[in-house]
Amino acid sequence: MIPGKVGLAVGTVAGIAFIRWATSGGGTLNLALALLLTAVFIMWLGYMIPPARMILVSVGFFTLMSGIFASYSNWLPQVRGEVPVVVVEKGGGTKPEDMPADKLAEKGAAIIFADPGALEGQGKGQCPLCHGFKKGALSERAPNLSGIPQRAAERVKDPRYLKPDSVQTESFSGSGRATTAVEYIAESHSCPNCFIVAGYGVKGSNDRESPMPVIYKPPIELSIDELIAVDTWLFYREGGDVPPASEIRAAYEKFIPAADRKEAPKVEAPAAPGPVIAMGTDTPEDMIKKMGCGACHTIPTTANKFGAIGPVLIEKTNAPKRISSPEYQARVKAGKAHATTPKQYIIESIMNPSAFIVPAFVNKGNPDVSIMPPDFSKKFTYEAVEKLADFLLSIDAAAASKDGIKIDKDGRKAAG
Amino acid sequence: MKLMKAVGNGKRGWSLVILGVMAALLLLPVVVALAPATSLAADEAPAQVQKGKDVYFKTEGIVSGPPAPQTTAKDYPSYDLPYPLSESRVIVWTIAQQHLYFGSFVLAVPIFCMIIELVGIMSKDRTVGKRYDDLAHDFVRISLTAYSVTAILGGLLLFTFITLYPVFFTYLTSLFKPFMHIYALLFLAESGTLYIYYYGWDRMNDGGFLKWIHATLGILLNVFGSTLMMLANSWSSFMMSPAGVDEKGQYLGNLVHLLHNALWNPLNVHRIIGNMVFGGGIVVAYAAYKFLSAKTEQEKAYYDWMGYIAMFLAVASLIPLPFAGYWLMREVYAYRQQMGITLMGGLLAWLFIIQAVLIGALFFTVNYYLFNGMGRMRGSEPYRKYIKYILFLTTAAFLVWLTPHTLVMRAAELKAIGGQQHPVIGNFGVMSAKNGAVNTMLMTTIISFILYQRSNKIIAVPWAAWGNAAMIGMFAVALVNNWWLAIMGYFIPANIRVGLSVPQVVGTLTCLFVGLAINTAMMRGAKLTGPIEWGKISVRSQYGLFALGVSFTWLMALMGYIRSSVRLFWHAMEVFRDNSPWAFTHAIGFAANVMSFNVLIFWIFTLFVFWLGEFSSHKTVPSMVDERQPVGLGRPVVAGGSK
Repeated sequence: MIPGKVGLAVGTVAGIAFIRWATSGGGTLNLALALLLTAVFIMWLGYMIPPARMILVSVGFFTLMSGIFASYSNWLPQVRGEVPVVVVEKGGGTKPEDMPADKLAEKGAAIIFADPGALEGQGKGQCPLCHGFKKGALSERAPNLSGIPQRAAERVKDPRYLKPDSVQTESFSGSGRATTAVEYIAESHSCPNCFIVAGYGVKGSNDRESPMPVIYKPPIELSIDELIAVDTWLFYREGGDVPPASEIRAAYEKFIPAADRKEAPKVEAPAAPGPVIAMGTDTPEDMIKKMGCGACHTIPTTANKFGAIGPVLIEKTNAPKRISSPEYQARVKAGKAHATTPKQYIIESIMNPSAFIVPAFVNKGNPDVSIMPPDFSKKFTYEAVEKLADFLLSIDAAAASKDGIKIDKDGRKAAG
Repeated sequence: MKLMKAVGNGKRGWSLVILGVMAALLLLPVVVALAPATSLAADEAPAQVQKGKDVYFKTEGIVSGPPAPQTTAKDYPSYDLPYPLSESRVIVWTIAQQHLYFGSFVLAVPIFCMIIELVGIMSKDRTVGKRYDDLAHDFVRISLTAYSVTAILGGLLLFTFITLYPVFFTYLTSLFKPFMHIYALLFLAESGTLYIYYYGWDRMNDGGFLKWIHATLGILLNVFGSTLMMLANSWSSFMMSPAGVDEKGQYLGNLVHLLHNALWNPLNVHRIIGNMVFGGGIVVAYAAYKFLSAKTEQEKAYYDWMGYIAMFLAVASLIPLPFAGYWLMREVYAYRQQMGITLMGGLLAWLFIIQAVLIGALFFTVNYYLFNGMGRMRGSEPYRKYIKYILFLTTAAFLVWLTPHTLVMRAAELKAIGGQQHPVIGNFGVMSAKNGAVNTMLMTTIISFILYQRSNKIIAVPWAAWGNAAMIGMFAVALVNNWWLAIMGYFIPANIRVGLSVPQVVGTLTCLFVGLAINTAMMRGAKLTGPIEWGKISVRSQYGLFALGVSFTWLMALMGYIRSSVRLFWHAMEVFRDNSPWAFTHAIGFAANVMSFNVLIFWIFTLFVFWLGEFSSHKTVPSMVDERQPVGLGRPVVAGGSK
């Protein structure tokens, strides 16, 4: 049995070491796991200090329970809900009419399913939330859209379609009803109440009212160009003839009043863009590009080979040296810098550039403030900055020399 | 005689005046709600009449307010703090959660006090009546400190909104300003009532007219509290399901529409019941804490009893909670099917799996506590052999309960599968099966309670065999009906399956009410095999009570997060878009860590409140010897044997 005081000391050191390791190294799961160890530690502390036993044991137990729930939640698949981004095909705002069917269909698939590999559950259209798309797939909330072009062509001749009794029979006064498959699909998107497939109406409405939202209105708000892409994919993937984009556009213009038509270029216009955020799903190269790191830094192994305002980022070589340098330790003592591991150092340098400035890069006029932009802490998610730090930690001096990059003694990119 | 004395002292007059003032204040919201809308919106009436269509009620109204702002990232200030505190949303989230926790606590405890005080008044045995009265008084004392903390946190939340979400908050106040003033006035009225209720406890405890006035104040306190909460609910439910505004978010001059949006009432009911469960959880933890730190056997006995009573009230409130939740979800689906699917089968579906685990933990804990409670009763041995079967059934039901029907998938998986529903998993975990599972868990818990009630008694009624047969028959029919419908749900369309929940619930509620009624009747004149030895319960059972408290708290954090995040990237669904850098929805791991942090902060605060409560309490706890419990909270037991 470990004597009490020795045990307490060992427990304290081990607990703090573990928590530091867990919180610095491994994301939210380790943070949750750290709660469990903290709990055990607090309860043990309670056991060792009888006057505070009950309060410490209680806090420890609450921490333990919270830690269990947090760890379990972190163990489950992690899916983040992104704000829908408008899919714009490479090459800018090409009109659907000018795009080949396969490219347009590809864009449509992305609107439905999002980009493969991304962590979104579905694309901007949110269609798979209710619809099935594969033949035979379960689809009990809304009709399975496999084979929809053929069914649409039959449906416009269906007596139930021709004599509608739904709560709405025209998209807007005078719009008329669909007469072709293309129009039927456009009408379904623009006026879901105009026809409800049997068994898919709002409960209690006797299939007279649809639970589907109007797709060109909030919250989904697809533009006509986007709707054309979606419809093109519905036809294209069946392998038959794909109607021209102009025909689909005419169908939508039949069912969407002119005042409600959203122009696709609106999303491509630079007006009022949201802030650029580096996400955990981005690759390190994407983040470097988004944040413009290459404007100041040379980063071996990437395309960024010209930045000379900041140090060359060979952090596998530099970060450990910087932490142990007397200049850095002085900043630690002053309470300005706090990193103890190379990864922490990199994260700190990004999130709080003025915590420590590499000596050769100190701004003489204002030595305490780095010239690096101070707002990266608002532009990176936790996952993203960790990912970027890991990437930068993989680059060493050898990688720089392999890329033909020369570095002077200050860490700056040398000429030639 | 006492009445005459009271009248003579003028107490009655004062009491009536106070009641009158309170009642007049209470009518304020009604007056405002019924007042012509134009009089309140007169200052905003535009010179040129412009009409708009209500997004929910579909009625036309005169545009009486500005449109919802089109914000940009610049409209969302933030502090230059390390991540995640640089995300203003996390700061608001934490403060709002703490305010809600304490708010729920101070709304729930008076409900308990009201019930317990009334039980005490109506108790024929004055010793028992006094004990209940003391218990209720103890509860108010705890809530008094929490009340101040709630107010402070409310102020903090207000400042946080003003400083970190100024544009959003300006828009919200432009719509709800009259209600915000009523809210403040009600808060004042509630504070006044609470202080009179607490400080007047002993002076009004004359066992007669004044005591009834005091109990009425308890009711009034709850009316004020609930109205307050309903006003605040209108703001959060407006954000989920706006009404009273047009597509652009412009106010149309009808305050009732603004208030009475699609989800307001379901949210009100769900929150009132939820608060009661939560308040029970806090008192349960308080009792456990006091039990574990008790110095004398008398203290242990008293706090053991307190824990049992609070647990009973919490669980009694927990039983209707799923039904209130079901109503809320049904209304969510009716409002926007997409929103419902995002919750139950989309982005937030995994959070419901976590909820299932938490609810499972609650059922296990309650059963565990009851099993342990049987240990303090001599004569419980014949019933203990059933524990393993109850445990088996509860576990099996739990596993069905947490099986998902729809999985959250990556885009590539989604594309490969061709839909949201997995070809294999999609065949499991349908709602009727889950309803079957949760009803089974409810029924096993009812059985545990029935066994607990019988533990120290030998049934003496001549119709005992018939009574037992009726109960066994009723439970068997309810369980078979429940399981049969759960299985049948796999073979019928979803829209018909939804209706199966009704007969399932009816079976469970029948077992609950009829089963407990028969059991209580059977306990009449029962021969006692020994007293309930309050204080002799195991220490680990008290940790079970702690677990109950933490599970309730975590569950509340989780469900609050789900309710709020279902808006996705909208401040007010479909009328006011969130354009902040934090408009995305966090992954559940991050959210769970914030929830755990919030839960911990709350419990540390609460322990502090408990500790503070000890400063003012120097009373010795009531003796539990020769105690009698009123019907409904356990059967009468006489220490030392039969009467």
